[in-house]
Amino acid sequence: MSIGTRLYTLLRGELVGTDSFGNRYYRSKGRRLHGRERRWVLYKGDAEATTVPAEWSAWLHHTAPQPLMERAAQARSWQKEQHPNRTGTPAAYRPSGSQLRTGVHARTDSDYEPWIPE
Amino acid sequence: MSTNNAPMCGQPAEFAFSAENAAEAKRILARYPESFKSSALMPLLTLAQDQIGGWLSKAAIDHVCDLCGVARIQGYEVATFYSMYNLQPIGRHHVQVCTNISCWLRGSDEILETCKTFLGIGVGETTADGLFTLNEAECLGACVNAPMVQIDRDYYEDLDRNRIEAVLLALKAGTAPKPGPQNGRRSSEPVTGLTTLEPDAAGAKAGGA
Amino acid sequence: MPKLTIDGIEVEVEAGLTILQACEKIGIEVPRFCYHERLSIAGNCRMCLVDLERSPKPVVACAMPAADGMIVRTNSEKARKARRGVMEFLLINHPLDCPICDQGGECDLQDQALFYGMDRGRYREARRAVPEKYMGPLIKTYMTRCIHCTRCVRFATEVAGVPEIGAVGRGERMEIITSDNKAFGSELSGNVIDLCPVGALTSGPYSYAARPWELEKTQSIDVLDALGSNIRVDSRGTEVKRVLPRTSEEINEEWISDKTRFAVDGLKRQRIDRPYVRVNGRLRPATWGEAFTAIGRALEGVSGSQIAAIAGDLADCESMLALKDLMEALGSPNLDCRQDGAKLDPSCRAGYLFNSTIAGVLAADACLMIGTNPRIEAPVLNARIRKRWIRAGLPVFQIGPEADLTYPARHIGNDAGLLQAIAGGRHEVAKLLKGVERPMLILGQAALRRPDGAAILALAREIAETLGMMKPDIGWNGFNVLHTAAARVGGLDIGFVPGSGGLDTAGIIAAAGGGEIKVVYLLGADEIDTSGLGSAFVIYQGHHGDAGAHRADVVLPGAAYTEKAATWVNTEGRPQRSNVAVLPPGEAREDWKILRALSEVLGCRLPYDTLRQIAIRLRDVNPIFTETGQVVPAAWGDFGAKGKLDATPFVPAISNFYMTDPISRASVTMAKCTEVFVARRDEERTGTHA
Repeated sequence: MSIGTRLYTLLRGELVGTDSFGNRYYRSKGRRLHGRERRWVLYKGDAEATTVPAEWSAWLHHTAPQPLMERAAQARSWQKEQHPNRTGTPAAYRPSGSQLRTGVHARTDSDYEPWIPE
Repeated sequence: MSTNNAPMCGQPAEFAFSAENAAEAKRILARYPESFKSSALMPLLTLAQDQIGGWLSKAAIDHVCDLCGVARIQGYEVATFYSMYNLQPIGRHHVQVCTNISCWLRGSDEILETCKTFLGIGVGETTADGLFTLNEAECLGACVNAPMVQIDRDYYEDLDRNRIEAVLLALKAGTAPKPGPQNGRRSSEPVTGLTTLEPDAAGAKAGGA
Repeated sequence: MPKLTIDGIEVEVEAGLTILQACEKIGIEVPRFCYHERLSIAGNCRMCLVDLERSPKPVVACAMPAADGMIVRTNSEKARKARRGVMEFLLINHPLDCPICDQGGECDLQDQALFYGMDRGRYREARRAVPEKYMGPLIKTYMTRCIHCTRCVRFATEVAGVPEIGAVGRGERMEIITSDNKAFGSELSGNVIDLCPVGALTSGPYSYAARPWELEKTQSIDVLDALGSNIRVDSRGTEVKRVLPRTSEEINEEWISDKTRFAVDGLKRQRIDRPYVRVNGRLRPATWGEAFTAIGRALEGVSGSQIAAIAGDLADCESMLALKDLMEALGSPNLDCRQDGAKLDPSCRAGYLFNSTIAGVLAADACLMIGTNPRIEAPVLNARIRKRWIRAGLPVFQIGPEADLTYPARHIGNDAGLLQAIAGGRHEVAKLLKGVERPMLILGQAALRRPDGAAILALAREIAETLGMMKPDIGWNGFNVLHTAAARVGGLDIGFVPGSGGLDTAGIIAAAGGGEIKVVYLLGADEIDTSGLGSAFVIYQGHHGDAGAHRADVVLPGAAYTEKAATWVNTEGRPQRSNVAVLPPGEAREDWKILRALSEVLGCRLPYDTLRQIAIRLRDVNPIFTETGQVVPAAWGDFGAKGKLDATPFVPAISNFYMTDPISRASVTMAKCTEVFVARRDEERTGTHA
């Protein structure tokens, strides 16, 4: 984060809370922009938007007036844990049939039929 | 006439012109120059249809095509195009009721209905005794005498319920009813009698002049 | 020369042209379905209605001759309204199944409905449905879509000469059927798929295989017969999906044969995709290095005269040249590109070309066919001869097995002795040929393959010379050899023939069987008697596991014609280039590259590394390769050898049109065609057909 952001946060920001990844969420003290308060996040480590949990994301985008901490506490059994985007890592998603998953090319209709000598 | 090209069942395997018709076929073919032999296709199909008894078998079409030197499929095209050629056996009498606009306005629905009830068959069917086949036809060009039917090669015109019944009854009895207008008028003269060109009036005028 | 005004543009056209043709001349598009430049005019779709001044009703542009002073408007309100009306009628019974129709995306009706139709339909009544018709394994029908343009009927009757398609019934009940519901038995049948402006006739093997917009289109050359038809290869990913004709007035107009179009599924089967080396009597997969090493070992201590090479029917000029250069470097004079043993004389180019050119057939006045059946050997050429017959009643005389050519041909016998009678002017046909301005003869491979082929070739030359087929003053050369193999003319042009003291195909096989020849290099040669090669070490380079590969000791995977940029010379002597549509499968490589790599291993590096360099080498070997796509007229000379004639009758060069080469033999579609058409023909011939 730049010096400017840090300075602005120090002078104008009011800490609202911290999420499980250690990202800190701020809102502006008093100053309003386009008729509403400014809300921002200072990431822990690299700026990675997928580390913002749903409860904070809703607040950050002005969808909810407060972080949805209560809703987050009553997680459903089918809800999966939040994790940062894994694209480009070994844990990236590979759908079934993907050659990257099995390392083998699954046969398709457009494949040729090789000659196999007796 | 039927475009149904489902395999035609009950087809005789072979066809040949009778001696008499073969001579006639030769005469028909001689009408056309050698390079226009295909022109004989329609008259020969008619000849074959008459010989078979009102319809054309596949073998007959093939035979005629070979005689005219055209591809067999072309003979089949012609035979299916014209409603005068029948591709299935028909009854002794072929009743074709005109249901086109003039006849329809003059009550062809009633005529068709009468035929159906009198013969006890639907359109496209043949009576059990093999005497009649009933069909609908498009305009046969006798609109002044509507409604009309064509039975075999004759027109029966100016029909109503009773008159068509009388015609059919006569045919059923094996007699030949008089073709033409059935209401007594001569050809397509006005129903109310002549108003002009009367022989007497013309004579009187000529005399008076 | 009538002068007329079309959309305000004054145009003068030749007398006899129609309004539609006049419009085309000045680049004005008139929509049409039934009109086709190469078919007769039917005028039954009514789509080409235009507004003609002083005519109370719009007129059909395709059937109306252009006349002096006509004022035509193709885009007036009246014309637009008329077209909209016609389109509405056409769409009444046309199903709205474009999303599941194979024609979707390349459909005339779809395009024209968009441009000239209404934006909505007003028809609420029941539509008609037509049962599917059987047209054979190649054509899939969906007859509810038919708009009765009758292009297929006219094609069958006029171009193909097999009048087996017809339109029965009339009006709304009209249907397109085949004679007796049999398969449409023409070698050009696939063209009705291209002609059909809607999706009523679509390709059977290609059905639901791809959409036109996802295909990559590559312009290429066909090699499955010797005409070199111009084709477009449509591929998706690694697979050739279909082959379509390209318009070429000189060669194939816009037709291609069924083999050209449908044998491409053979490119996916029986492919050699890796090198093999025979170890303990069995072929084992190997790397390129191992295969080359095995070849190097086999050539150790073998002198040049103990090595031989035979090129097959599909070989391209680049690879044949590379192989020829390699054999020269190894000191071998034993090489031959005539694997069928045809007695073609490489010394005179005019002696092995179709000198009249394919388009030149349209100028011929009489034709003598010797041991050839162009309908089977080159169906597209046969369509051209038929076109000439339709236009001017070309008299055709046939020596050889009697065959139905789709036009009348006088069969004068199946005996080579007749040629002597004709050459000597004793036969009446000689007088008939001499009496016309441009007579031609077509000499087939059936005549040249015989032991007395050289004598027949010499006799044919004599006939050409004595019966006025050579008329240089009017630019006419009526001596024609019809090849059956795409590689043959190219092979002869680069001199892939025995060097001094070298052996020809028969000699190579005999010597290999006798043990004098130790190593035989087969470049896609599958039509030879591989069992006669004895204990020789056989190297097979090719793309399909056919006869040659089964016998080989080392198999090198090459590329098929859709997988390489290469040159072929067609039967007229026209060099043409193919382009890479898909990549060769697996380890396979372009053929000249294989030979170039092998030469390095064998210690005699070939002096070219790029296609450009080999093209220059090709030009140096024979200047005809300078002009791609052009025919260079060949100088007349002395060829053939006088000799005794054989009394045996000619046997057809091709017995089964659908299976002539490794690709078509591997094709499932061609196997189905063989089952349907060849079996049917045999039945008809023996008269067992009911």
